[in-house]
Amino acid sequence: MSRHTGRSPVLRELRENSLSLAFAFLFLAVLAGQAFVGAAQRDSQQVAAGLEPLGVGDYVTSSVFWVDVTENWQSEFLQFLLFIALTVWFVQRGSPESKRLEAVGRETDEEQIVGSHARPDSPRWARVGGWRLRVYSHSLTLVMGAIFVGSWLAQSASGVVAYNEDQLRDLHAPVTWTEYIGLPDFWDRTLQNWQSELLAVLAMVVFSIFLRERGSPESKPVGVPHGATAVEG
Amino acid sequence: MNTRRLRVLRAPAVAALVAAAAVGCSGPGDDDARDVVSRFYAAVADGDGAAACALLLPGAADDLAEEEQAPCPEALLDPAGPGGVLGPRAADAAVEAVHRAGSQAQVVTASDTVFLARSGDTWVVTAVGCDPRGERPYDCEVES
Repeated sequence: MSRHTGRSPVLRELRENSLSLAFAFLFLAVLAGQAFVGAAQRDSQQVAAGLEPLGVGDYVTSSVFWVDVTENWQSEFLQFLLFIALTVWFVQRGSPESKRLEAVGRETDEEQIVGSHARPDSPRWARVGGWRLRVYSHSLTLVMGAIFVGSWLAQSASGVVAYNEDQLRDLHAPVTWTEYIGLPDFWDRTLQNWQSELLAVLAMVVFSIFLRERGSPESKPVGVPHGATAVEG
Repeated sequence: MNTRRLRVLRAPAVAALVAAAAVGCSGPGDDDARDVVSRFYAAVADGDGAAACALLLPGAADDLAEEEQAPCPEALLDPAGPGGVLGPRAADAAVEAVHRAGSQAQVVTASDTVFLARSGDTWVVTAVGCDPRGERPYDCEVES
């Protein structure tokens, strides 16, 4: 890092937040791409049915677009929620994604640097104790869980409209939200995303035992033995 | 997959969720669909087949003309054909409910169920003179 100390504060700020910025840029670019190709597909179906196209603006406010977006969001946040929660209690020998084998559980206040063990620079709610410490101790899962539930609800709300659009197109009666969440369409969208996220986590946990990416904190250093657990590059 | 990566994912995701929550509806709404059905049945009641056919999906009008071996305005009002079903229903066409889902809509009148689709800035009738058949699609007198 020392070779960058002469750069301007703005460049330094950009560099030190480059991971967030890169993902934010990629997220927006891919979401925009999804909107344009989705609109093109929908409008080609309109034309094939003898109808006028509706355009990108209409598509990005349509339930067809948002059910596709939110079904992926909910599964991603569920993936991270499960990963955060399960790694408290479950370990994997040799994986950098796992904690140390002997550290299973919530760990001591000393290890977690809370209460009387908190340092002056610890987060305030970690220092004060009481209900704020209890809340802060689970704040990551609480927020990830809230986003998961919110996204899943948004999937169901947009999904019932998208489903009814197909129903009406095929001259069937529409269904209510409560009917929809018991239908195969809702669970097919849900489960097909869940299985892929769980497979990805499994692959990451297991592959990272034996495989390496030099310089990545998601990998063990290249020369670290396969059996070394909780070691990040 | 560690907590560093998890943290950076939160902010954009929350912003995107807010954007999702802010999504509204666009284009013609329930009242427009209701209006198209009212105008369709008013035209049928007036014997104005051309006006009624103008509100149909072009594909549905073409299919009707081909099936009845007559231009759409004539075929639609033929008492021995669709007119025999649509004529009596035009006498009691007060709209009772509109069910809209994205680019499709179903308008229920006192005597009929009509299906519509968005086309640009308006609705067109895709099926009319429809009766439910349980699990199967509605059986419609005119459809594409």
